[in-house]
Amino acid sequence: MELLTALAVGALFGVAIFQMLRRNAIRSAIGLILLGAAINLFLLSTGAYQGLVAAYADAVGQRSDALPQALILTAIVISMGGISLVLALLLVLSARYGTSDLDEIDELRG
Amino acid sequence: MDVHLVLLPILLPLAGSAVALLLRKRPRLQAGWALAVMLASLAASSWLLARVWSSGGAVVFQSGGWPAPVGISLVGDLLSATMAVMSQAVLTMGIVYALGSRDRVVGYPAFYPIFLTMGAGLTGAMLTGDLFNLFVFTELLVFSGTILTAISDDRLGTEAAFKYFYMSLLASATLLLAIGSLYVSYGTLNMADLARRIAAAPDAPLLPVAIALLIATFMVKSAVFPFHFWQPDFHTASPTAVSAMLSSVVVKLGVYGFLRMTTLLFVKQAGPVQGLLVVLGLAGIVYGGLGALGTHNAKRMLAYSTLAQVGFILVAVGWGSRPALAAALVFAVNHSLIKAALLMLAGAVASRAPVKTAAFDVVTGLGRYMPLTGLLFFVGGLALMGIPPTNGFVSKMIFFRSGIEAGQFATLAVAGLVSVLTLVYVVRAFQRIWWQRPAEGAKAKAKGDQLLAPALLIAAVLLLGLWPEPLVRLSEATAIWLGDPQSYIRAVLGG
Amino acid sequence: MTYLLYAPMLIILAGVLGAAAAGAPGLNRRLTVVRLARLLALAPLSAFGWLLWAVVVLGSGPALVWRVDWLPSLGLGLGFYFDHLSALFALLVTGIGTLVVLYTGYYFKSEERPWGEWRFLTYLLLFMMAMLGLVLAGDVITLFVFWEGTSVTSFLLIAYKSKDEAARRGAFKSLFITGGGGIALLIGLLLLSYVAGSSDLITILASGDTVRESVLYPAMLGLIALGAFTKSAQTPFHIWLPDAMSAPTPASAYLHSATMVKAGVYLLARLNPALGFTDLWFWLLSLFGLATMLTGAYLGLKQNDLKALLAYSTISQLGVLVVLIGQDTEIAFKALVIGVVAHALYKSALFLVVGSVDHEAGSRDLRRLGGLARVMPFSFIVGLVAALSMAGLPPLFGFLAKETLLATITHPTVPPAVDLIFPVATVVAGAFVLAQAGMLIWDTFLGKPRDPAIHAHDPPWAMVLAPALPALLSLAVGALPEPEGLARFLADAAAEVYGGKVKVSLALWTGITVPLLLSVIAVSLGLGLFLARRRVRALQMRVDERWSFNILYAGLFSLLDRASALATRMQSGKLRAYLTVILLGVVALVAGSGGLSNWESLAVLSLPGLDFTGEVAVLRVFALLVIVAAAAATIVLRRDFSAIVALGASGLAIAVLMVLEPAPDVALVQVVVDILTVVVLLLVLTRLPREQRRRADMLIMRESDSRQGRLNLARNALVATVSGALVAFVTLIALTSRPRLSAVTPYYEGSAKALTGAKDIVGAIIVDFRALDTLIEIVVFSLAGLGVYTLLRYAAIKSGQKAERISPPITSHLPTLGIGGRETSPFVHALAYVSLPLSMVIAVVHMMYGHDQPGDGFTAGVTVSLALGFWYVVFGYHEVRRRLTWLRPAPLIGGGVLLVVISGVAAALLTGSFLGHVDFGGRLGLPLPQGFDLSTSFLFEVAICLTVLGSASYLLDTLGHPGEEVT
Repeated sequence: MELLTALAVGALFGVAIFQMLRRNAIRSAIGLILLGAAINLFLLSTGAYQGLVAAYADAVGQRSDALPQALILTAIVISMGGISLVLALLLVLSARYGTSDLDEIDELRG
Repeated sequence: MDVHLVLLPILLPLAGSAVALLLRKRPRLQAGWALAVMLASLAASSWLLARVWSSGGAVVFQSGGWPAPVGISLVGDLLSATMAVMSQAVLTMGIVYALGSRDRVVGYPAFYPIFLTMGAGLTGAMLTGDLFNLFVFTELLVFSGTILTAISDDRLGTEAAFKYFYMSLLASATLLLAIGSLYVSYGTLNMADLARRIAAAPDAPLLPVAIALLIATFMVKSAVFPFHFWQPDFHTASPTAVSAMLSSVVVKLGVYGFLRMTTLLFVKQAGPVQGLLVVLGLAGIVYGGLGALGTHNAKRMLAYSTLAQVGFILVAVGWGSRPALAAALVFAVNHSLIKAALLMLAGAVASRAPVKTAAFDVVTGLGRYMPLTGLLFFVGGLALMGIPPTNGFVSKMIFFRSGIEAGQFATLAVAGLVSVLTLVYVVRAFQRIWWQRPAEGAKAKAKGDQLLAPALLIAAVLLLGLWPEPLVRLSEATAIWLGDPQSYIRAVLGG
Repeated sequence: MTYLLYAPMLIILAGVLGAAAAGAPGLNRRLTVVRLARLLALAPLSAFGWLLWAVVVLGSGPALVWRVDWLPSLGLGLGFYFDHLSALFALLVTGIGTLVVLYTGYYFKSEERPWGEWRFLTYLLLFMMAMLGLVLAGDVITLFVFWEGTSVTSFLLIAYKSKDEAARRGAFKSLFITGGGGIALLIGLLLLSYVAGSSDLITILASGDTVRESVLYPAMLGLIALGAFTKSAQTPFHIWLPDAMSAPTPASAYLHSATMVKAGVYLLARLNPALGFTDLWFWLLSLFGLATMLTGAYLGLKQNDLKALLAYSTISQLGVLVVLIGQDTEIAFKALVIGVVAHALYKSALFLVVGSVDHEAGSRDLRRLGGLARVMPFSFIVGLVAALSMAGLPPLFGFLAKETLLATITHPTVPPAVDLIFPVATVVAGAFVLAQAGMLIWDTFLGKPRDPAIHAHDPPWAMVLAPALPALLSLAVGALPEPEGLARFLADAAAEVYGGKVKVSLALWTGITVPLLLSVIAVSLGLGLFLARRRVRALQMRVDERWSFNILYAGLFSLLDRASALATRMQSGKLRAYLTVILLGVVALVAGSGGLSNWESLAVLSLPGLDFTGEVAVLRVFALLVIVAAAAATIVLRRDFSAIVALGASGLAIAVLMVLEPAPDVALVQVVVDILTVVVLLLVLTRLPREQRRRADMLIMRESDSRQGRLNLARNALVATVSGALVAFVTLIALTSRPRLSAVTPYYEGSAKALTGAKDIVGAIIVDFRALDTLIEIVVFSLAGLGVYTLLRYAAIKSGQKAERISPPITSHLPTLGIGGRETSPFVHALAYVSLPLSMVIAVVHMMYGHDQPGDGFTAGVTVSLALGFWYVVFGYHEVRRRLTWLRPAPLIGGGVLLVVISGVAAALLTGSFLGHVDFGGRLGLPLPQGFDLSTSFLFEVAICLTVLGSASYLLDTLGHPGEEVT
């Protein structure tokens, strides 16, 4: 199970990176989203122990580690904001550069 | 109650920005408010520094009253307080510059609120004692900087912001991976607690990975070669009031991070990290110098020069001896003032160019229309070259001194040799803008950005050059404090 | 008596301020440059007098010392030191300075208003102050400070005519070479003071033996010598001096012959007691000095420009002085002091004469001048006297200098190996210099005028007087019966260098001696050269111009420029390349850290977890597969639209995984965020211009067509794989090392209910234990909304166009209908009407009970926002704006953030800690429904909801705007 999960997280991260490196801006943005997701899954796996029940005060049995979940919540919200910002940037760029091909947005050189 | 002293420098700009947002329809009032808030915040951080310096300890605020490591600790020690004062002093000057700027961007209702959040983010990242909280604050900083740059009214700003944001998100990913790895290994996020546990059990399998990832993160944050790619673009294309902040104080965040890594978190493992820092620093000095020499735009030249200057600081951090750390701090503070002033001056020149740019082929010879700007730039240039009676000379001298005392003659030789480059590009730029004949029919606009902010900064540059004692003594004290992580840990965790 | 020390500098400083003041329009109108110069000349004059008096006070007693703390924490001080050596140079600086300042006024004489020459005088006096500080410094750091000061002011003076290219180049060259030497010097001096234990001159001079024995001695000597050589124009660093001649002549006369170029000589002499008396010292100085001496002498003869000729003879003379210091013999230092004074006198005189010639005849070109003696007789006489001194003929000071010099190098203490080189070289150099002196006078003043275009006339009295004084002085010293006082003074100065008594006699006739014979040889050779000058010069001209040390200079810079071009090319502008480098760098760092070598930590990986017993495990595997598969689908799918849908699916699968974890709160947020993300993505996609989208789709399809494209894909795949592997590895270790200790979670689990009244531990962490994180988080999220809004509303409009104010522009007159302007059915309307209030109810419940069940303010906010989005779809932009007037993002955000701050402050007042937990309801005993308490936690949830709502409505406001063409 652990191996499988780890491989899945790694695969997700890899896909994210591959997409970020696409020329197509939308795909690249998708890559960013997946990147956030992969990181969140990793954070989930940093929980100190494998929980059997949700982290509630009145729950009986092994609760899952609450801290990483809280961190994930924060991270999710932030990356959501990041995504919307990136997309807005893409819109402005496509308006100002007339393209959504990342390789054509390269005026800042030298 | 008085522990809130360390909270104020963060909370004031944060709340202030919310109020500023509500004041969006009253531009003048909003701008004035922003300045007032920043001044108040500066006063608070200065007070904090005074307190810390006199007490010789650290002011620790356990957010929400939750004991460390459960809650989030804000820690004002000599290092973070000094950094905070430095940052907020320059940020204040940034607002002053914006007030006198003709840049359309400063007229946007969102400008000052976001400028304030940028300040809050930077200060928070320096004052926090919790790794994840550090991540959150850096995000605040990144978002603010990105927006402020993206809204600049030529498209280059948007391009630069876009690229910067991408690389920053990558850095955030590495930071989160590092934080996760450390939580896996030591079950805590509090830096003091981490330092204690790492010292106790240095053989956690993920520790090296975490260290490497943190190095990568701070390398992106401080634009260390070869992770620097965003920096020349970002520091050039953003509105002057902003780029003067980015290239002066914001890049120091990574330096701060490296200092915490080598003197608090990974004291036992510091050796290789420091070695790497020296190498990276030298690479940065060389690359930054050459880039500044080769580039085609005054602001961009200054951005490249920041690469080199940060390189010097990293080398000093890498040397790691007490005098070297003190030198790094002196260098960091002085460079912030110098670079902010120079970028503002370059921006002021650009603001009077026929088309708003600092590109050399546009601003060549326009200097004759702005002699005062030229005088200020000349003094700033001397400071950058490290020529007395400016604070730049003090930095350079103390840097060399500490290198000698540390017996690091090889690195010293390289650094000294390459630092000649600074002289070359600064003088070239100055001659080009102020002494050469302008192109046929090229004339400067009658009005441009006001010079109050850079003039004040240059005054500080001279003052710290003529009377460096206080800064140096502060840095020495800080270096001594950094030499004793236990006292930091005790201050945070008690006992 | 320390006031004797700093008073002269203060006087000069007053002069500087006076000169600068003349820039003020009011004064400028009243003054003329001549009057100003006359006035300012008083400053150096009185300083000169003061110094003379100081010398008298000093007698032959010990040096006067004055020191103040500057950087006590580093033990650095501002130190001054006044002995006969510094006195000698200080007197030259102020004495000649007086004449130069006076001369300057007439040199620049003009009637135009306003006049700018006050700048020149300011720089000149600034330089004078720096130079004075340099020779009076009693601490090597102080010395360095003034040293750099002279470099900078010299830069300004050379480039005074900044409009002309040559001046700029010359100034840059001098600053580059002397400044570069300055860095070396700084390090050298720091080494010296490190070894000596202090930067104080007295200590350093006293600790000569320690210094010479130190292993660092060669390094520090090399660095200090480098500084001195660059400053004193020693070969091969001399190349800046001829170019510096583009400075106005007064500056050349003052800086580049009499004073600044002697700074290096002074430094070496000053430090001789500490650094000298070693073979290394002897060889270093002798070789460079000899080379310089010959180079200068040789090149001087081929010049046509009078100033260039003088510059080279100066170089030659500087070489001589350096050689002398290298000898470390009593008589050498005697020659040194005499040489310094003599050269300063005649060279400044000659420069000033040449300046007059240039000024009156309008040319300095030997090929055009001639026969000026008739029109400018006085200048001619002055020039003649000075030139004779330069030639080293009796009865002049110059003669004395040369005599003593020649005496020096036939001195027995010189190693026999080089016994011959020195006299020969000196004689040859002397001959060349003599020929130059002859040329200078003859071809300028005698013979017949070569160029009829030149109509010269005699210069004003001051321009004759200024050079006359030093010339006469150099005559007087030689001709008059031996002046005791001067001799003793010079002897004392020499003694300071030598570190022991030196006897100086200024008698001309010392009987038939070897020196005299050598001198005779030199003179006759020189005369020969002079007579044969045409042919010799013709020969010299044959040698290719490029054969000079300037090749090195030019080569260095072409190298630098090539390197810098390379450096900037790395900044390629291609984001994908940057990301690749960073990613590979990260992997390299991790690999290098040895972190990957911890396989033994994976010993636990006996794959125990591979049993898929229990439906949970099966579901997990299923979820994981969906996540990865859907993600992979976003790569292969051709259309962006379908890719986005796949992305949404992957996100939902993640939510499922979270449920299985079990982490219900995260799952819930994941769902709403996933939906919101997909919505925003689709909105953005619809806003991209059609043909751009077509081209984008093309990109995807064509990606693997070209070979280059396939290569790129392969490279990216590689990068992706390695980074993925890295993350997989880290995750694996994290998972396999479970269960672990957490330093904090037990506390949360134990005290969440008790201390925050929350059953939901995650919620408690969010709004209580780590509330600060959450506060910043919501600010960040609001920033995103605000940023999107500002970007699309303000930045996206073309510059020049006026920025919009808050209310959105009515860009189209579409009927306020749904997206695409299509009429939506009443049923949908009804749905919409229901959905909004419903969502609000849900939101309120979430906020009230979020701390007991899954769900929180964020979910609440997003839920309402989604309902709003639905409204935008159904009713269209303007209708929504008309109906929901309360929907104003900025107040929502500002209010939300302030709410947290206020409740936090309230908590600070009540619990003594900002963001502490307070149950207001409980404290006030309010009758509240079961399971709901009006606490800071609740307020926080509300605040989160408000900010999220505000931010989201910013998004909708911009992205949901009809026909909003971002142009």
